[in-house]
Amino acid sequence: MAEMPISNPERILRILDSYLEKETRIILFGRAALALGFGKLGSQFAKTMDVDAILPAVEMGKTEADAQFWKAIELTNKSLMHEGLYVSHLFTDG
Amino acid sequence: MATLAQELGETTHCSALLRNARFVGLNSTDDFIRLAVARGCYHYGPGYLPSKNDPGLAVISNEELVALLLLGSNEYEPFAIRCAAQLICSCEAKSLAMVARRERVERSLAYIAKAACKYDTNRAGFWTQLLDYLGEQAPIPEGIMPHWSRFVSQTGVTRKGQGSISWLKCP
Repeated sequence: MAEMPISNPERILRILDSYLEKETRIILFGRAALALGFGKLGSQFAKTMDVDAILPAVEMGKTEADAQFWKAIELTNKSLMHEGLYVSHLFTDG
Repeated sequence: MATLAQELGETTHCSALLRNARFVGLNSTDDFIRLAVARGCYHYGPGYLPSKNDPGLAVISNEELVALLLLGSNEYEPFAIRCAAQLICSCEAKSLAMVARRERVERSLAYIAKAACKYDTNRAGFWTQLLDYLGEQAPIPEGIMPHWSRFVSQTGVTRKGQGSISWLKCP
């Protein structure tokens, strides 16, 4: 059986993960979350060009100071820019 | 003071670009305007002294500076929007649209580009291309963004006839 091709959100997050130096929690929402969390049903969102995430307000102080996280976001966007993929829509829930 | 996003009825995101700008000493909307003045938006020079600390295009490109000037989290400052309209002429359309999408400033950029399609006819191709890259955007209600006449210089009626309209560009 042919394997499903890797989705755009998975590619973006794998690259982000490769730049992260320590465990970092982000909460996905939107089409990327649907593509990754809902199996075949979510596969229709596999071509979404970005990953949207929520940074929990209660952890924002820590996140703001987490230089490696922001560097990883920047590097991810740089390395994917030629393909039009990105992760930059980060919101807080506060 | 209200932010541009509040005026537009939008939410703001935590911008990695803004964070990067702060890291190189660009801390406010005024700082973004002053950097744009240093990069050629001389029309706004009288009100904003040019920045003496340009971090360079490799750190903050002109496309990114346009996005910073239009960021929703900025305090509502029409001069920043006008400055962005002038600086766009130093940008590459596809890269600008990409940065705009990342930084959620497509609506403001499309508003400027639509005005430019009418009043910067010499560069209509560039503006049309930019609008194509941006795709359809929700229109902005009247009275929030600067009027198109703020993006141009106009001469009055002279002995030679009707006045002319020139879109403000960076040299």
